[in-house]
Amino acid sequence: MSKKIIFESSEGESFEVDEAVALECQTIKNMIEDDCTDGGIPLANVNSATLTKVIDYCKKHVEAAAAAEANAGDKDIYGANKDIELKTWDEEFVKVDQPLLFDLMLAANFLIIPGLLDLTCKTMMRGKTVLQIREIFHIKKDYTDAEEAEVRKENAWAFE
Amino acid sequence: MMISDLPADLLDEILSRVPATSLIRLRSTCKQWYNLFKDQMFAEKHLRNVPKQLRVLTLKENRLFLPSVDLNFVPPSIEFSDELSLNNSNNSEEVHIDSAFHCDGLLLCTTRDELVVWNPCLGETMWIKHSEGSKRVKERKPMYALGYENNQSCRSYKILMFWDCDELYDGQVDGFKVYDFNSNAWRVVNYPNCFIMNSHGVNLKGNGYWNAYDDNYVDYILSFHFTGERFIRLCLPPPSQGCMYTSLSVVREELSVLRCVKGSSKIEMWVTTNKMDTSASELSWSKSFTMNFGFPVLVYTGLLIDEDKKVVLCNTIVGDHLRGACTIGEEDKYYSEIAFEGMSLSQPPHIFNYVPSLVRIQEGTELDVFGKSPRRRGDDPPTRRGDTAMCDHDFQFSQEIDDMMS
Repeated sequence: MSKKIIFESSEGESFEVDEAVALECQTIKNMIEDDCTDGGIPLANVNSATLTKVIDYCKKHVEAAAAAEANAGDKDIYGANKDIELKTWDEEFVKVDQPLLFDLMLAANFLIIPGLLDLTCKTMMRGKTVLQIREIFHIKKDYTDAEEAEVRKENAWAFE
Repeated sequence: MMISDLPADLLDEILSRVPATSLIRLRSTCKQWYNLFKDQMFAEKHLRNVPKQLRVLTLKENRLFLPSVDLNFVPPSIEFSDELSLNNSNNSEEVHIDSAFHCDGLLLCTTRDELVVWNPCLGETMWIKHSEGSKRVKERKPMYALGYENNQSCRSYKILMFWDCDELYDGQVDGFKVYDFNSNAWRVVNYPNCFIMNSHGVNLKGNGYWNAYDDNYVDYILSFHFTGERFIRLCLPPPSQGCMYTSLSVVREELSVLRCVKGSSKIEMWVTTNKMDTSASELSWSKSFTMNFGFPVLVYTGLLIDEDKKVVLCNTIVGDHLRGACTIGEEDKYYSEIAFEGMSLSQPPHIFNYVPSLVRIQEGTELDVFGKSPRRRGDDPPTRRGDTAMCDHDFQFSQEIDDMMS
């Protein structure tokens, strides 16, 4: 029986996970090493919905790493980061609404989960237009119309 | 979510994962982003974080093309219709490019009169005087490579000038030189012992790599470390002798070599497995796949264009003739060829990798927000006021940011 770690969301809900799963979070890893996880870890800035997703992510990646280790012999030279199944799973995982994506990114940043941070950051801008991005981030347009037209004129280039 | 609510580094984390070609469009979001994308620290972070958008460029008849290859067709189609033109800063005329070398999204091109470091993605150029002129000296031609020194704060770019010789290098010409962008001057560096460069070079993680052979006709890879400014000899996959014709390229963050044995109809693709630790004193190689042509063939330049389908795009020479560009895959169905009309072997096309980036050549001075300090072409801030006609660029507003998972 592996050791369990208990997370507590901002709503006060408890989540019990295997230590191996919790170790995916660098922040928690440090706490475990310092032996200060008894009585649960309160995560005041991560809500239950986000925490559920974060735990899903960590679980999946722990399982995938274990499976990859077991099959290490079969890898071709491209092996290491060519896990297509996991990539597809990741893609599905981030098909969530914008507020949840934000929360996931913030949680990944706070808990230090590099893979999840990379994934959420990468997804943040995808498929969005400049107007939508301004709206999502509440960015005020500080160009005059003429300046903006000028900047956009610079954009015309060969790679489109 | 307000942008101001984001923890300080997180916005950089997000934006540094957006492909350069999309960031160019995002400059019109706000002035803060416009300036951020011009920051060198951000450009380097972007290079580290962004999923690699590997493109292929071809230098053909003094012009650069973006070949498009469609592997969904059988046989795949190859086209050279999109041109990337470099214009003279004074008269806007198109410049003839003699050679090109890629590093970090920057192209170092030689032209008749000058060298130019060019970021086609940003549309920025920087022109530098040749150290030697471009003429041959006793059958020796000056060649140039771009790389960078890895120091703690940021990359400092340099140019290496070396001599391409038809005979073994005998030290009869003046030494090799390095141009430092911090001092804007050329200075002499030590050159290696006897060798002949045997290929176009590539840059990987700042250092230059070439195929070479020595006075015993042993093939090897010659590397130039821009940090220590020294040459290093590295091994090729075995066997190291026997008239191999090789072409170097970069796959992911590894070196790859496409080679054929003279007189053989097989071409082999090899990739290093070093995780390219630039300090590694030896390379370890793994054979990726073998292609069978059916008749003796030589490859002039070429690279892997699809790792999964195992397809390369290369130039082939059959007999004494340059045949054209072709795609060859492990399986026959990926074979196709496009002929190069009227091209001679004296200046065959050069196919190489290119990754769009936001990197700018710094002249040792910090660039100020919106102008002031060193001005180059393409550096014009959008401060023009008045009734500039709203051009029909509104379509860009509706353009979405590229998918980055691929």
